[in-house]
Amino acid sequence: MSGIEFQEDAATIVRPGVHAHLPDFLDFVKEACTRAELDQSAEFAVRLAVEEVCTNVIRHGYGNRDDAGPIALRVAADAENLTITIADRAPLFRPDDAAAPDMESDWELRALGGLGWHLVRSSVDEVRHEPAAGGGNVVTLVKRISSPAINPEKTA
Amino acid sequence: MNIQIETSVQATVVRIMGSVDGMTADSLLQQLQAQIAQGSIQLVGDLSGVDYTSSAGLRTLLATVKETRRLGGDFRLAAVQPDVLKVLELSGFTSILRVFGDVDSAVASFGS
Repeated sequence: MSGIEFQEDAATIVRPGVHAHLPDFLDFVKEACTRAELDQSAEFAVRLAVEEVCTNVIRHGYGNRDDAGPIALRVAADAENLTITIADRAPLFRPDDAAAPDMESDWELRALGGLGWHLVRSSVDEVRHEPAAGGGNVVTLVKRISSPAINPEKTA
Repeated sequence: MNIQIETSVQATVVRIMGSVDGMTADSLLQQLQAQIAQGSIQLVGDLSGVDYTSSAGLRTLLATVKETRRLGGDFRLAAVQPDVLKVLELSGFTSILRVFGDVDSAVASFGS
């Protein structure tokens, strides 16, 4: 999957990786969820995972720059899975290096961020990350169409 | 996302409707901070109309909890929908935020 093209087609949307385009990606995914007949909770979970991944790319990958590179988001559905592939041309990152979220501290010390990847992993059934050919990252999210929405037990 | 504000003797109820996400969370934070700046530090977030939140929304909730508590008040949540509640639980927020089943209980909690 690392060869995703930055070219639009019926299953792919390509936009600059800036905050103003976040709604475009989320609307595109919402339509895919509707076509795949996901229930409301599963759609919530997919939207959450996609928002967190795209926000990470915009904020950390492209550093909130106005001249950010592209994000390509592709959806594919079959009878069992909705698969979403999100590619960028930002510097390589490693999701496994993301710090574990702070879930225990008292409110005074609780960090305001750091939950993004935790929520991604909890919302979908599979998360894969690979370097893109020629630079950048490709994140693949797989949601089983029959699986429950958000599964706290999975990460407990 | 829209919000409506209703002030009573015990607390200010902020009724939030819609999605609290990367597009709306900053606006919500500004509106909550405006309430705090006016001296309303006993806040109840009525989340009955909130159908979605992401980590951006969680950041706003936590920032508001911290700000109100430092001033001697609190930001308590009420009527949280199941999917949103799952996100709060998953993020460890239910151990630091006070969540009530309905707005009346949350408002009354400030009197006790």
